[in-house]
Amino acid sequence: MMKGNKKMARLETRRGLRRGAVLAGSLTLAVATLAACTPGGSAAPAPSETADSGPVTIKWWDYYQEGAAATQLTELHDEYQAENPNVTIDREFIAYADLKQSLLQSAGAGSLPDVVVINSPDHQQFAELGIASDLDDKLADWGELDAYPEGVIASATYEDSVYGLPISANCLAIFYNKAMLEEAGIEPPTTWEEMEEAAAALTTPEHYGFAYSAINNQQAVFQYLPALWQSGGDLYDLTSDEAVASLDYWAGLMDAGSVSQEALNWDQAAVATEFAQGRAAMMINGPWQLPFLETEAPDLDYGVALLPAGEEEASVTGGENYMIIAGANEDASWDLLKWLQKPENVTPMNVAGGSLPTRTDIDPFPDNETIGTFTDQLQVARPRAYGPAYAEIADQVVVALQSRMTGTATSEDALTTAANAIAPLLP
Amino acid sequence: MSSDTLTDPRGVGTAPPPRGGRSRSLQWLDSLGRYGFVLPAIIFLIVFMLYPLVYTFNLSLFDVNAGNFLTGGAPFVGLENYVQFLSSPAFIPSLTITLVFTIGSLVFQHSIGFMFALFFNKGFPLSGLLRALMLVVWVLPAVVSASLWRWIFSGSYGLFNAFLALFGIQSSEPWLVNPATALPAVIIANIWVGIPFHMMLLYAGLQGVPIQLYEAAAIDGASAWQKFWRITVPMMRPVIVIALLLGFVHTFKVFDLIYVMTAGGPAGATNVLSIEVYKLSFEYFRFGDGAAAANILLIIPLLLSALYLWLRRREESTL
Repeated sequence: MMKGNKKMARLETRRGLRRGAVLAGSLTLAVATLAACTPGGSAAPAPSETADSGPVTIKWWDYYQEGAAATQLTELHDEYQAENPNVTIDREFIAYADLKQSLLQSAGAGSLPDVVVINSPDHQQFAELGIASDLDDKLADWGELDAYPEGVIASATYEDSVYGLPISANCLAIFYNKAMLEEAGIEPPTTWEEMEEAAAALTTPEHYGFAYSAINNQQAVFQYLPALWQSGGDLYDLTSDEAVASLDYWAGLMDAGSVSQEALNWDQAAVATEFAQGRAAMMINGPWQLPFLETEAPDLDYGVALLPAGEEEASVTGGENYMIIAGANEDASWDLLKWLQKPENVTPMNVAGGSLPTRTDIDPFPDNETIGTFTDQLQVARPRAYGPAYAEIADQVVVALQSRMTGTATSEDALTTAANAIAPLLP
Repeated sequence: MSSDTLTDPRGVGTAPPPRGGRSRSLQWLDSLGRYGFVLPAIIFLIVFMLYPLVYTFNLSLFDVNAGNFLTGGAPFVGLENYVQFLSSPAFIPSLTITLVFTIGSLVFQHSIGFMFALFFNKGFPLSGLLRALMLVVWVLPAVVSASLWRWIFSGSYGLFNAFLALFGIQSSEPWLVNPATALPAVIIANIWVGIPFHMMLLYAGLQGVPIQLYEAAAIDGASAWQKFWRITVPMMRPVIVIALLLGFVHTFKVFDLIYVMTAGGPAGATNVLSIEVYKLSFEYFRFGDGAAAANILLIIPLLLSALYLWLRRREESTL
């Protein structure tokens, strides 16, 4: 007996250790992919000098994987440091999936970075946390805020103050496989009815007519919101006839078999893979997939079209913002940000990131038809500026989407449940 | 059971501490030395176990959210976070799913693990190697096994549907996106992960059952079935109980496997308590609510462990 018990105790400890390690590991790995993760706290504490006197170290966090955007940013950083020898930029990679947690932890430990690249719908949540610097006075002195599209600035606005500037902007549109549409003799759809017909006609045993993401996270909401807005509805009134119609339209594409049931497990990258491999004739996705399609499917002949309109035209904008953290290096960080926002520095960043122009006074992609379509689409695109509780709101909307798509609830019931859950969360 | 008393550390082996002939200061030093030896363990427990527990409990009594987490000044709300979580529409479904997941996993993990343990206890050629291979499953990081099962259960190119096709069942059902099949699917994955754990514990326990008992039973003409129920199970009872208890605690708080396979979906069909806790704290920044929910997640296995210890003590005192 005793022998067994001892062995058991050993097993138990080992399993316990393993569990812990796995949990910690999985949080890092789950969404983040393999990346050279550097834990926070290794950088020297920021010196307290102001921008124009003495050496300053700006601690910078972003989640750019190796690639064109990361390289471009490094070049800009190097250039800025060469022009300003007193400034050192200490750049650190934080995996996107870890960003929220890392910011919280370093805020608790009092070792926050000075500039953070942040996903725009998270911006208000961090502004609420009180760690972001209020840029109102600085922006007034600077006087260039008018050069930015309203929707882009709205994502960085919290309680009427602006807490950041955009690094990239994007919006959703339709990608279509030219060969498949030609074969079926179909033009890219411009209305909901045409969309339903086209998606059905393009569905064959080899491929689905259309692909979207309905995965159990914010990406599904990002992709559904345009349909909700096209109907004339909004998250503020999810029980309206318009909202119900929009969900019937969106989920109906799956009911009709034009969209695979597996969309419930696809993120936007998986949707792009389906399209790249010819398993979907059309997809809804953003311009950041253009570099992906170029490398993964160089022979694919595709076009980009505006999202089909319902009662009105609409799309959704996303992107990244720069957020300055309140603290001793605010002014130095602001100088860096102003420099990065110069049209000649914004342009190469937009090109490298497959992102749309973040300023209205630049043209990073002259005569590029694809980007031109996205830029047109951006004119009717709206931000997800639903306040600091957006993450929770989005989760409730996902449940509504998935309940409807899996047939466990009607559109009315699913949306009523979601409407009740999000009512106290909306600003 | 006699071997228990023989090897009892409090028992015969220890000589009584020497008395007299020693000054008080030496005795004091001696006891200080002894405390010195346990000090690292005590410090470890306080820093890594007690402090987080107390901190979480304290956090759960305040309405801590994004707005006041860093600035401080969160209002004291007593047990309101607990009431709010227990009465939230997510709680009952989440608890039910967690219990179904835990019990469903445990029953199969344990009984299949037991069969493997009995099988390996026969000691056939290469059994050691095969047993080691079984452990690979257990050593595999959960992210890896979860990704594997995600692929197995996917619709058009999943292995499970291909397996069904062998029996003439044509299916392209995406098992993880159907609310009716998602929970059974993650349970099956978790059963697969947990079998080696139960097998190892039970196998170790089987080694301790004296062979003489079986020999005596064989002389009395007992059948294999009788030997199992009358000898193996009663002799193995402490091991069975601890395997089930540990299994329950581990399974009740499983996060990684489900997070990777379904993230709680579709439509909340696999939304276990641990995922709810994670979302509250790290996605919604509702730290007070998250802490209260975490404590509720903690308390259920804790009560079960206490029950086990109590049963065990009662059992020992009757012996």
